This record gives sequence, structure tokens and C-alpha cells, in this order.
Amino acid sequence: MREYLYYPGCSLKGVGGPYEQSLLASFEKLGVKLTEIPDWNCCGATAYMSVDANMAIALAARNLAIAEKNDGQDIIAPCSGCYLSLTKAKAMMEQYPELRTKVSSALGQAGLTYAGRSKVRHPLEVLMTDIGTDGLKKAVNRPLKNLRVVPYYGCAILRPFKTVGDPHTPTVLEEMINIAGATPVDYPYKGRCCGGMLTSGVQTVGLRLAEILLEAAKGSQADVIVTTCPLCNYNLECYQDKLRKSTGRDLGMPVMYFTQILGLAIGLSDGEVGMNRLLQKPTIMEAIA
Amino acid sequence: MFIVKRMAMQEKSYRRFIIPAIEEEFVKMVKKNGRLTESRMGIKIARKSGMGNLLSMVPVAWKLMRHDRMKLFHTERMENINELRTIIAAMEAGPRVTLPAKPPVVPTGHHQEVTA
Repeated sequence: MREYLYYPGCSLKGVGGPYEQSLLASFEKLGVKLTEIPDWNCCGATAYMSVDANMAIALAARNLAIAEKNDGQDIIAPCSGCYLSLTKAKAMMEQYPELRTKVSSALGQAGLTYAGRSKVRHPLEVLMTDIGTDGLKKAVNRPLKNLRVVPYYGCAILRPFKTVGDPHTPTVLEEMINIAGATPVDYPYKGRCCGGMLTSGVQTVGLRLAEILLEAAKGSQADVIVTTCPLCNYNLECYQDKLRKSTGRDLGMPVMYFTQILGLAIGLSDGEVGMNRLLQKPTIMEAIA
Repeated sequence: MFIVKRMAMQEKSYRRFIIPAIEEEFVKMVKKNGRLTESRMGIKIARKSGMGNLLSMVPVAWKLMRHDRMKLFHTERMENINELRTIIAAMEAGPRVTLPAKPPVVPTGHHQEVTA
């Protein structure tokens, strides 16, 4: 059985709950064991990086150090923001020895050591490389025929670390959607920004970005948007009513996580992948279930 | 961008754009609990950006609570917060390491192949 450490991050314990639910259920069904990193802390996130970059890296490093105590297994970080923070911290400490010395000293005072052994990985990359396309194809027993899906990656798993292929024209999510039996639609904005934290801070800008993405998704005649990140999911799903009021246009569309699509295709039930927790459920799903 | 945000925080010049204020609240919450509670953070953001914005977020918050994705009175916190505070204190004690504004960019391949 394949084993990984699991770093949920704050969002998967909150608004991103369906992502955690479908990820854990899908991996278990695929015979992959995920062990949550004990007593993890905030990844440092973009917000902390703005205030104090040294501290943000130290926060991420504590999680990496705890992971190393557990045999240095690879860490799966499903939240794209957490994935980016942990990966950035690792890269910064590799590139700047002075920073690594300072962080290692701080960790040492708490009885922790950082050796840089654990790899940080996004579950989409793990599914497509470790389980592999053949492994996933074998597991699919309920192909989601006739479901037209917008593949939306967001920024953080594409840039700057090129996790899942080409940072501007990735295709791995489309491959996964195809394996699930669904049809990925051509979506030119798949790697564009969802608005990020701007939807909270500068709504006129943030919501405009979300509006562009939703408008293009509507135009593609898709049934659902699939995301790989809880913040992208939130921005595209939760502001639809607000955008309807401000623009006068119906931009409503169901938004799911890629792990929900996969989970359904490998035979998990609606409840097991948290479909009841979506604000809008795709109508075509009722025919599948 | 990080430098501009830090300057805005130092000069308290964020009446027009509240992002720096949001990020300060974020840091306070992490220092207190070790983790972020999205519902509480949402309330803090909405309060800082005005009563109108607070009220406009109520329908979304209500929907999320009905779908078991937000709990109003729940706080996410780690168990061993003292360990994290020890690390934070140690980081704050010494001189800060100056970092470039941009993160290192890996030219090709997977990030794990980066070497110093």
C-alpha cells in the first residue's frame, strides 16, 4: 500500500470540507494511505509572507520538520496555497543558506530538525504519476458520460514551480477528466487568476476576475467547473449570487473539486464525496447517481 | 508587492485598500491559535471593510453553514501552541535575513530537483 503524509491546511478543515472528504475517500478507495501530519500549523500562506517572509518560512518549516520525524514520507498538500507556501519555503531554504541556518536554529529551540528530505506534492500530480493513468483507468467503474467539465487549475500549482506540466497550457487535469469518463471542454482561462484574496480585499477587482472565468465557463456549454484549490473553488462558487445581482446576468454554474469527479467515477457515492455540501449540485449528477 | 504591503502596514495607509489590515489580522490569529479559522477571519474582514460588506456576506455565510462548510462558534487551533510560539520568539529574536522580492524560479522540471 502506498503511504503519504497529509497536510490539510486550514481551508480543508473549513470551507474546503468537501475537498478533504472526497480526497480522503478517493485515496482510500485507490488503496493509498494518508496520515495527517500531527499537530500541523498554518502553512505561512501568502498573507503571512506579506507581513514577515522569514516567519512565514519558519511556519512552513515546522510542518516540514514534523513530517521528517515520520520517516520523511512525501507530503500531500491539496490546498494550492499551502502547496505553494510549503514548496516555496523548501526552495528558499535550499537557495539561501543563511535563512536555513536561522530557521533551523529556531526549530532547534523547539526540539525539531529540518533536513529537507520530505517532498511536497499536490494530489493531482500524485494521482497522475504515482497511481498513473493505467491505475486510475482500472479503478473507474462508473464513467461520468455526458458530463462536460471546465478544467480550472488556478495559478498556484502552475507557477512558478511547474508542478503539473506546462505553466500556461497544462493538460493533466483534462487527462484525469477523460479517465473519469467525462468530457473536458476547451477553456482558455484554465490557468488565470480566480481573484484570490482580492475578492475579500478589493472586491471590484476580485469579483471582476471571477466574473470573467464564470462567463467563459457558461459560454463553453459545460455542466460543471472543476477546481484543484479551495480558494478558487470559494471564489467561483460563493460569489455567483453577488455577481448575478451586480451584472444582471446569470453566471451560475456548479463548481466541484477534481477529487469529487474522480471519486464518483471510481464508484463512491454522492455522500462519500460530499456532493451534498456543494452550494449547487450539477443536475446531470442525478442521472449518474 | 510584499514590500509595498509592508510599507502600507508600517505607515497605516490602508484606508482605501484593506488588504494590509486583513493580513495583520491573519498573523494575529495564527500567532494566537497556530491556525486560521475562516469564519472568524471572514467576520474580521467584513467588519474592517464596513457594515455594508458585512451584511452582504451574510447570505453566503448562511449557505455555507447550511452545507456544513462553516461553523460560527468553532475555532481551529493546534494543540502544542507553545512549541510554535518558541519558534516565533526565536525568529523574532535575531536579525532578519533579507530575501529577494521574487521567489526562486525553477527553470525546468519538477521543483524537487532544485539545488542550492
